[in-house]
Amino acid sequence: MTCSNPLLLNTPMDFILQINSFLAGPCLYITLTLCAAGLIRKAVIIIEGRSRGLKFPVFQPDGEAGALSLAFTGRNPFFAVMSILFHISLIAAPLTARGHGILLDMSWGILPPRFNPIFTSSFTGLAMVTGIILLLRRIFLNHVRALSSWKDYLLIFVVLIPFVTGMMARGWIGNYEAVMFIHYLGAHILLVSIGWTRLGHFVFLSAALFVTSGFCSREAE
Amino acid sequence: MNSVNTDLIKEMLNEKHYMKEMLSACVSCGMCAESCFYYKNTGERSAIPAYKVRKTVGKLFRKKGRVSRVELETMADMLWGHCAVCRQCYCPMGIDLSGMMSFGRAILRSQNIDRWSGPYEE
Repeated sequence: MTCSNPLLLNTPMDFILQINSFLAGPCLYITLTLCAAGLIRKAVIIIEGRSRGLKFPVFQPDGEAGALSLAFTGRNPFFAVMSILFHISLIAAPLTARGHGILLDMSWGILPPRFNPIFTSSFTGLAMVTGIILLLRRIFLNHVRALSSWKDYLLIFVVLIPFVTGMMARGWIGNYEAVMFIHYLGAHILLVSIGWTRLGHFVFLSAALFVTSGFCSREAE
Repeated sequence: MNSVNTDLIKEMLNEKHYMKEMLSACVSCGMCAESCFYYKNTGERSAIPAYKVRKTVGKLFRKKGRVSRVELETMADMLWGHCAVCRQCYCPMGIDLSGMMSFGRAILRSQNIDRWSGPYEE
């Protein structure tokens, strides 16, 4: 299926191969730059906003410890645990994937620790299951559904696409190159979205925890 | 006074432009609703803190302050009629929802619209 001359595109598959090598190579620099720029912009707005009166409200149902624990556990322990597992899986699955380690080694000469693929599969499966549970929460809980727009539903799919396709590629399900094309494309869209959409909410969460947990002065709150 | 001083509203919005960014961090998790006594008692969508802020301050940011007096009076209903600014609305992202409600009230007051000007009074 491979093309003898890389510049000669005989079939749609040759085109996908060319695009895939671009997405897995040079395009990553552009995507990472865009992602970093968006996150830095958010951080600058928070820091600049602090001088203009930006406050992080301190919610203390059970004193100092209550404010911090509430941020992680919420009011419904089941969904809180699902949310925590979902977010841990989102970070752990790509970090433990061997394919990513190989790409990192080829691009920058950095060889990350090699994890047993069972870790990656487990984290990917966990991300998909907990993601679906959070999607069902959004659909069936009145107050969450009332707040949700089509963008909220779309973002869940944007997050899950690289994980589903990663799992498919690992299991050789479907046309490998086509699946990898969707995987690469989904991952690039996800990374840019983290910088420029509400998927970058961890910046605000981190800032809120930093301020309200007493790491910096709270006199102004 | 029936006109709207959009320049003044724009100026006030520019001063607090970080609020727009904070609002964009809302992931619609619904935790503010779970901590709002007004929502828990009424169950109305219009009582959910994030919803109220989006429809008032969020709308002012979206329209860059270019709103009609009727729109402002409708906002008065939400800002005063559906919120006690008790500061119990919890947001894991640290969005100061009640602070934004207060800011919305300040904008309306700058246009001579206050608690008793909203349509809910009629």
